[in-house]
Amino acid sequence: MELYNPIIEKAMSLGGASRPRRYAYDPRDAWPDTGAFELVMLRDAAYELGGGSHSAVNFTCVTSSPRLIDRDEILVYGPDLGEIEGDCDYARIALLRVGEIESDDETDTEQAYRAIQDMDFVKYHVFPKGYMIRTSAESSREQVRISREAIREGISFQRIGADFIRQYKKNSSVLNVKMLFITAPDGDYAGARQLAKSVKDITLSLTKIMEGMPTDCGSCQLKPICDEVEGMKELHFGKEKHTAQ
Amino acid sequence: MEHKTVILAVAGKGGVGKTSLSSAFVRLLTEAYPEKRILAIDADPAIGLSTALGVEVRETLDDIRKSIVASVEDGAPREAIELLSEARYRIFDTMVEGQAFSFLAIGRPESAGCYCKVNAYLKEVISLLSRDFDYVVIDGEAGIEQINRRVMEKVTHLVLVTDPSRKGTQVIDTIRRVADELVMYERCGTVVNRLTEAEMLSHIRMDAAELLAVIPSDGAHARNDIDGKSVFDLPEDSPIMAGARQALTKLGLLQE
Repeated sequence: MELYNPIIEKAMSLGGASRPRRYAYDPRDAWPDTGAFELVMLRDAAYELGGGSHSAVNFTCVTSSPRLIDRDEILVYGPDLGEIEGDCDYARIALLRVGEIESDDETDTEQAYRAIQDMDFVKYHVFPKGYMIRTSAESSREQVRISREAIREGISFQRIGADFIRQYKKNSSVLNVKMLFITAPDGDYAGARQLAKSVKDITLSLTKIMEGMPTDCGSCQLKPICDEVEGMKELHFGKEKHTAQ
Repeated sequence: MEHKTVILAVAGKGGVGKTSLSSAFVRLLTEAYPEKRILAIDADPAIGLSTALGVEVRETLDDIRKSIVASVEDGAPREAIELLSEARYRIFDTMVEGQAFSFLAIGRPESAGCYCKVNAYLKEVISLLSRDFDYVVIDGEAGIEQINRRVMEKVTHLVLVTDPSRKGTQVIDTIRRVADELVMYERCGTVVNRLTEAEMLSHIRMDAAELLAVIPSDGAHARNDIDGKSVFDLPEDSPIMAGARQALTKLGLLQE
């Protein structure tokens, strides 16, 4: 699974000039999770990550490369939750390493790709206490309201990241997770938005390929994505070959 | 422990004072329970509750519904969980959040006549948000439509409002009969509003539900409306506030 590799490599340079703070994952660090949507009213909020007209980007990439993701880790670029003083730009990027998922058996491969799509949906099942996540698939935005109480109790990206990783690792296909949180004023949020769009395009193409689509590249709306993303054409025509057999 | 939300809906014929009573309920609940999460929903397409509560509406539920429908029609495949998350995302952008309460308006569909789609959406929104708030007060559309379409299915406390007219009491009789079948309410009661003479009460035939309060016609309240003032500008002892307090107390939602 190498389709997202170029995006993962670019994602590592979105955080601005400063070095990130790095935290090894320990499930015991996970911030308490309420298990259901966590409403933080405006009156109780300290601030909103990505609030108002600020950037609020999120995307999830999958690879099977241990060169790119070799451990469970949380990387924080910019001020941590206890240091932020008002609404600010924000990006959360989840990079997942899975086992080799291509298979000679077409059914196995399809199931594996559908599992990848499901991994992105983990974000809809993470409900840290005092941390209200609002996600729009339409605009690839993820805004987060943080309660004043959570700040007082010491909420941090390390602990939120641990909650996310714990949820991702409930899926046995996920070997390692790297969680990137970006709040740095010099972060490349426009670049992050561009990468989020590329991820969305690739995932949409995968879905269409799995559903079956014409092999006439000249009439296909997804041709630019296939041209740009290494491995996409092979995947598509591999699928066609299997279907024809 | 399961969170139990009080969903209080106000229903009745048009022009009987549903909006005034709903806004008085919101004020009383915010004053009695300042720490609780209170949501006011203007389910009447005329959007009068916003004025009564002094809230400025920028966007409505119908705007959200239309934009989500448009995005799905654009062809991007969407899983149910994505649509749910999208709805929640947009609802919180649309909701007016104040210090004391939050506010949502159903809005007025542009196409004339049918409110079916937005009513169906309102039903889902009530279901979605009811877990997040402690009290939800709904100012219903005039007549029986929202009860009939099960929009009010999850309402726990139903208040039927009538004026002294025969037509008003007939409407609440009908609403009560239909609600018995389609609303899972725990308590239901009637408020008689705009009574001009006390002796008229004995002539009003009311079979609908327990009488919660009788509110005399109130010139000061009418003046408040004319001046565009909100319910928060009314004196505590004004007839509408006193009647609303009595109704909530009888329903067990305020202490004596």
